[in-house]
Amino acid sequence: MSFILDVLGDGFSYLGNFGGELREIIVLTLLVSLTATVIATVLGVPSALALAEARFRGRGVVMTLVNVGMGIPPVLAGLFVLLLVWGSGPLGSLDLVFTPVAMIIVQTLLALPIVIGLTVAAVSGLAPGAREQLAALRLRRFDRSRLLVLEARAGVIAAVAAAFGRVVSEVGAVLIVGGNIAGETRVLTTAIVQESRQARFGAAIALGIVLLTISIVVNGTLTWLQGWDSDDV
Amino acid sequence: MSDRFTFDGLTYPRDGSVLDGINLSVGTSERVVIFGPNGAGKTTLLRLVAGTAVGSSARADCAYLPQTPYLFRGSARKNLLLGRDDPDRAVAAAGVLGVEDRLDDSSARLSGGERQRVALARVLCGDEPLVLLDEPLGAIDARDRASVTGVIRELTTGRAVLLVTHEVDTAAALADTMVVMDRGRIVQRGTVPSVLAMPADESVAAMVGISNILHGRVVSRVGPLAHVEVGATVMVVVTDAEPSRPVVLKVDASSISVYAAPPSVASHRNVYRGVVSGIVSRGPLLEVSMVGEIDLAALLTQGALDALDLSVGADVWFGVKTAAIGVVGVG
Repeated sequence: MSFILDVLGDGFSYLGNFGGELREIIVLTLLVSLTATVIATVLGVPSALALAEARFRGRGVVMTLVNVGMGIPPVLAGLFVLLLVWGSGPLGSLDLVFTPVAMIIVQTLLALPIVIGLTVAAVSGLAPGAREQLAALRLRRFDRSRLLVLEARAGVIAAVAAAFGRVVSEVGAVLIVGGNIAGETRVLTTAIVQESRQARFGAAIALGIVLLTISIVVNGTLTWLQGWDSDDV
Repeated sequence: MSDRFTFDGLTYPRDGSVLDGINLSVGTSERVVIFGPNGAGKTTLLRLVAGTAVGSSARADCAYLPQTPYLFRGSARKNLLLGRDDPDRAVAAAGVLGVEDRLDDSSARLSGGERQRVALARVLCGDEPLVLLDEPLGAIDARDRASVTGVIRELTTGRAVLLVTHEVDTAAALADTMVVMDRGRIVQRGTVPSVLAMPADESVAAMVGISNILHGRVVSRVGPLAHVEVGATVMVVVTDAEPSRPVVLKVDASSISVYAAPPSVASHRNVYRGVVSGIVSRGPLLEVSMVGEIDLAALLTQGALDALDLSVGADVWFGVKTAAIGVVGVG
């Protein structure tokens, strides 16, 4: 027991000597995960609205693909993106191997099915009268989408929170496409792996505390948004 | 522009198991009610016309009140103004429907009746030439129905109205033309008074009862009793409608007393003289129609008819108790 307490103590003292390297790791973690979540939201929510409203042949296949995507192993996604950006791959000329851009691409791929799948579920779960009323209103497409998202807000925000949760805690994919290069592509999760393998448990715990704090702050904000009353909108 | 809205071959779903090739048309200032029991396909028909049913295409020229109006999160005012570009007119419509003071409340705090009124105000305050209403009085209290029908009639004047209801009173109060549906088919069409007085068959009669629908105008009122001018005569009616207001009255044919000579003492406030114009079998009963001071139909048993010794062309007096006259709408 004293071992664990010692490690925790080391962790907090490590945090006390908050240095430039840790700051870089935190900034990159936030940059990659938030950018991927934002891109996935911007692409995913409109796609989900279209999917929820559309009735076309093959919709079942698309929804199955989305649901499979929600559970795809991150290392597979990482391998796929690595092959895409590898020197002799289709995007090889862009020179993206072991860069934050490649990390953002793979995290967007991981976040997108979650945003789409959970948003479709949220919109489909509205009261049966809501969509008939929405159709009856004959609004412009943009206004209709806005109203739908506001109405299904709690579910849509849960979708975004779940997507962020997946990418910020994910390690396999960013390790494969980013390479965990110190000062360049090292994020909190890959740094924790690194420190643990070298038995520097105090540093690993410190990074874990930061990761947990980010998770609490971001999800707390999203939870607040879920309850925010739209009476004035 | 054509002077009618015409809808041909309305079918749902593709195999026609709910509705199969219904044809419908509504004049540009006509009020048509689709009437029938639950499950007849009325709402599906209206959704096909509105373009909200799967496989139908949306119409830009209609305002549509769904069967269960849904208010979105936010204030009642936000809901009232959705897609409306004349806030003053919308608020005025909410005012005549009695919900102006609830507009700044969250929609979640409104009662069912208030939600219905906000939704009605939004639908009625526009300029769309075609107004589609699914059970427009659905959540409205019985005591407020006459006044709400008055507002609906006023705000849809000069426009085409297609409404759906399973209630005879609502149909009589709001429509001129009645289309009776049963199990996905149209079983009768005609003016509302003609359908209610002469149901095409026993199944329609069972749905509508046999009723006389009369249009009149209040000439004076003392307390709850009003004198209502109907055609060339006057009826005493219980209503709170003010003098000069038009009213729609319903008289159940089975509650009319029939006399072969002027009744000397009767409990009826309304006794009318006329001539028997027709005697038609209605299941176990006989329907006796009278033309005269007022046109009415009454239901009698064969025994009663024999005792009265009535035949077509004979003089007849119809007595109607004030309590048997329902005011189903105020214009």
